[in-house]
Amino acid sequence: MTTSGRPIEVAVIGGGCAAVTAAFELTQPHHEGRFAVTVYQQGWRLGGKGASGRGKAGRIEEHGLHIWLGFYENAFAMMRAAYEELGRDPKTHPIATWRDAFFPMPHVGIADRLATGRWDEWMAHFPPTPGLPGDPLRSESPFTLASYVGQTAALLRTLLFDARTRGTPDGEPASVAALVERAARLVAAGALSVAAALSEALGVLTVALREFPAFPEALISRLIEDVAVAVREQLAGVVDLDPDVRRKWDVIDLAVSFLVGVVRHRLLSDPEGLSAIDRYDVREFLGANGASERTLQSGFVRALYDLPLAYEDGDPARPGLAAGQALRGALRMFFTYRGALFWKMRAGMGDIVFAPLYEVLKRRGVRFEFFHRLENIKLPQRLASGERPYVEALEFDVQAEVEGEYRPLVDVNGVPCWPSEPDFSQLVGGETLKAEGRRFESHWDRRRARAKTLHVTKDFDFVVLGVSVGAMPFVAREILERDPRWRAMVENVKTVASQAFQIWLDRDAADLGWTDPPIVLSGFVKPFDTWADMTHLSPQESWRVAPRHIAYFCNVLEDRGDPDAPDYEAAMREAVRENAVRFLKRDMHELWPKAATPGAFRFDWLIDPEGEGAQGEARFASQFWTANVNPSDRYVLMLPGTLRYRISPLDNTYDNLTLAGDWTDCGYNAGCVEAAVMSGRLAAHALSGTPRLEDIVGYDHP
Amino acid sequence: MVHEGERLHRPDPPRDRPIRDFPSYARNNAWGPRDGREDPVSQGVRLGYSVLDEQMREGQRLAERLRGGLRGQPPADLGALIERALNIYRDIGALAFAATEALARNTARAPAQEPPPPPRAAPGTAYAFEVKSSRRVGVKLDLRPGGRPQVGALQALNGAPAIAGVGFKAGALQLEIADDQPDGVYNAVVVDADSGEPLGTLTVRIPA
Repeated sequence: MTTSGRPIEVAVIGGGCAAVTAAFELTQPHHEGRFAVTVYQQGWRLGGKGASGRGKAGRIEEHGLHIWLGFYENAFAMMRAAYEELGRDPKTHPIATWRDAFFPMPHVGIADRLATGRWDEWMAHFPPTPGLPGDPLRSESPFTLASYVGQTAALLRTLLFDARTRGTPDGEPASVAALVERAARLVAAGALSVAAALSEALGVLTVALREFPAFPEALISRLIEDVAVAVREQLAGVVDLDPDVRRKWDVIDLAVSFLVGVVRHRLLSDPEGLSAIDRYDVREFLGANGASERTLQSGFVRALYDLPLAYEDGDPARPGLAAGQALRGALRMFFTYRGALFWKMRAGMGDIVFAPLYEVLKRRGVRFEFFHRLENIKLPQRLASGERPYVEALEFDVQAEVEGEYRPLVDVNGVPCWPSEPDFSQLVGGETLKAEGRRFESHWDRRRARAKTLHVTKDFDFVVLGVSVGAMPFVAREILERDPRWRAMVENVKTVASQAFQIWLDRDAADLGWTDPPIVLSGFVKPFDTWADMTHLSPQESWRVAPRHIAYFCNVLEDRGDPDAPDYEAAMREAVRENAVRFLKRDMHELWPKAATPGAFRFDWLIDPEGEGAQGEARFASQFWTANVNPSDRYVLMLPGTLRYRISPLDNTYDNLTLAGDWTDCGYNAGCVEAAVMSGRLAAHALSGTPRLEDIVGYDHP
Repeated sequence: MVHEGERLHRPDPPRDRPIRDFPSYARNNAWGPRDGREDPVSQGVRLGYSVLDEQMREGQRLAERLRGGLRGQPPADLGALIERALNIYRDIGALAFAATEALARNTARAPAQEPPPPPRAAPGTAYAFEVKSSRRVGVKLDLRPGGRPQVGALQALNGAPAIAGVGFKAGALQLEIADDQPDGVYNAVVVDADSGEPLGTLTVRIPA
C-alpha cells in the first residue's frame, strides 16, 4: 500500500491480451486489493487485435483467424483460472468451463504446389499428448535445447525407420560413461551408412542429449555431423519420386539442417541460446546448414512464414523470419504441445477470451473507461538530479460521453458477447453520433467529445502501456524524441497489415468438394494462403437457417497508397473485397472443386443474413471482410536482426511505466497470444514482483 | 517500493532478461551432474576426445567414399536407377524402401523397356532355383555373399495377392506360383535369418 494507505493506482492503457493479462495479475486475490486498476480502452470493446464482434444474424466477425496452440501454457493457465473464478453454471450456460470454450484440433494441412502446377494438400494428424495446456509443469522443465535436439534426433529416427529398431537405448537409464563409449565406438566404426548403425547412432544421440552437459559436447557434435552426412548423401537423390515420400524427406532435411546448425553455431552452450541466430533469416540459416532449395520452398517452410504473416510491408516477395525465434517457435509447437497441437475456440475470441476476462475483472473491482483514446504520454520538462524519467501525465481524447457506466456486452444465445458496433443508446447524443458515422476504432476518425488529462500521483501511480508498437509514433512522441532506444525499437520492430474475409454457405464441405476432415490449411496461394473450416461456430450464431459451412481466410495485406490520405481506410477495405472476390473465382476450385471452376465461383451459395439480397458476384457484399490497417491492429513481425531492439516490460528506464504486448522483449518474441500473455505477466511482475519470473512458463528458454 | 514524497517508483527487478543458456539454467535449477559422476565423466571426456582425434581421418575417408560412390551416377536407364536405390536400401532402411517402391511404381507406368541384364553372381553364393509354375516366369535373385538367407512373401505394387510359396531350403530357392496368380512384378527383401539385416532382393516377373 502507499504511505497514505490507499491502493496503488494503475492505469492500464489498451484492452488487448497483454493489457488485460496485466490487469488480471495485478488484481489476483493474493494482492489483497493492493492495486486499483483502471483500463482505458479506445472504442467499445476489449480485445485489441483479438477483438471480435457479433454482426447480423449474430454472426461472429473477427479480425482474422485465431487458433490457440497447445504450447500456450501461460494463456491457457489464465483462461482456466478465469473460467474457474467465473463459476458459470453448466446447466444453464452454454459455455461454462474452459473445456466448453476450447476444443482440440489434431489435423493440420499444408498446401504444396506440385511440378505439374496442381495443388496438393498434405494432411497431418498430430496425436494427442499427455496432459492439457495450463496444467502445472513437472519439476524438470522440458525447455532445454539439449532436450529439443534429442527429440529431433528421435523424430529423425522414426521418420527414417518408421519404428524403433532393436537395441534402442531410449528410455533405458544409462551411465554417461557407457553412452560415451557407445558413441565413441560408433564414430570409430565410421560405418553410419549401415541402417542399424545409423539407427543406433540416433538412439545414442537422443539419450546423450538428455545427459548434456555431462556428455561431451564435442562427441555430440561429431555424432550429429556423421548422421547428417549419412542421411543426406545417401538419400537426397532418391526421394524425389512421390509426394508423400518427398514430404517426409522435407521434414528429414529440415531436422538434419537444424541439428547441423546447432552444432556449427555451438548453440548448446551459447549464452544467448537460439537468440544467437536471430540475425539470420530462417531459410538462410537452414540453407546454410544443408537444406536443399526444394525443401526451403516446400509447403512446410512456406507455412512457417504464412502463419505469422512473415512478409515485410506485406510484400510476398520479401519474406523475413528471425531464425532463432522461428526455430524456438517450431520446437515449442511440435515438441511441447499438450493435449493437441491446435485448439479452436467454440465462439469468437471476444466471446471466449475477453468477455469472461472482463466479467472476472469487473468482479474484482477493475474500472473500465471505454471510448478513451490515448493521445500523448507526457514526460516532465526537467528532472531532479539523479531522478529517473517518468510519466507525468496521460492525455486522452474522450471519444463519447457515456450515460452512467457503459455496459459493453450483449447476449447471443445465452453467451455474453461484444457487438460489432457500439450501443449508441448508451452514449450521450448517441443518435447524432450514429448518424455522423462515428468509427471509434479507426485511427483516422479523430473526433472527440472532449480532452481529458490524468496526472501522476493524483489519477495514477503506475502505467501499463498496452497499446501496440504500431501506435507508438502517435502516442509516445515525447519518449521517442528523447529516447534513442525507443526510436530504434519503433524503427526496427515492424508491423504488417492483414486482410481477412469470412463466408457463410448453404452447402456443406462435401457439397463444396472437400472430403477430408475440417482443418486449418496454410501455405496456399496468396492473397489468402490460410483457410480454416469454422463450421463449428454455426450453433453459436443466430441464423434463421443455419449455415452448413463457414470458412475464414486470412493473409498479409501489402502496404500501398498513402496512409495519410483521407480515404485510405475505405480504399484498403475495398482492395480486400476485390482480393477476396478474385481469389474465390480464380483459386478456390483447387480446394472446392464443386463450388468453383477456374474463373467462376458459386456466389449464389453464400447466405445473405438479410434475406435474398443481390445475385452473382455482388452477393459477396453480404459477407464479412476486413482490412486491418489501424496502426494498433497491425501484426507484429519477427524480422531477422530486429528482435534485439525490443524493450522488456522489466526495463525500468521510466520508473512508473511498464510495457505490455507481443512486440516487447518477453521471452517468446513472436506475434501471438502466448507472447502477449507472457508480456502482461512480466508487466505485472515489474510493478508487483509477481508472478515470479520462474513461474512465467517458457520465459527462461533457450 | 520506494516512496519519494507521494510519487511511487518501480523497484529495479533482480534481472530483466530471460536465461537462455542451458548450462546456467541447469546450474540455477540444480540440474548439474549428479554426485558420484565425476570419475565416469572424466573418463568419458578423455575417451571421447581421444577417439575424435583418431577418427578424424577415418571420417574424411568415409565421406569421400560416399561422395564418390553416389554422386554423378546419371540415371541413364530406370533399371539402373532401381538397382542403385535397392543398394541404398540395404544401407539406410525404410525410407529408401518407400522411395524405391515409388520408383518401381513409376517404372511400371513407363513405356516397356528392355529388362536389365541379370547381375553376375558373386563368388560362393550359388543357389539352385526350384520353380513350380504352369506358366513361364522370370526370377531374379540378387544377393550379397554370406549370411543365411530368409525371404517372406513376394508383394506386388498393383494390389495382387502375394506369392507366399517361397523360401530357401538346402541351398535352393524354392518358388511355387499358383495358376491363377495375376500377371505382374513381385518383389521381396531377402534378409539374414540370424541378424535380420538385408542381404538382397528377389524379383519374380509373370508376363501377361
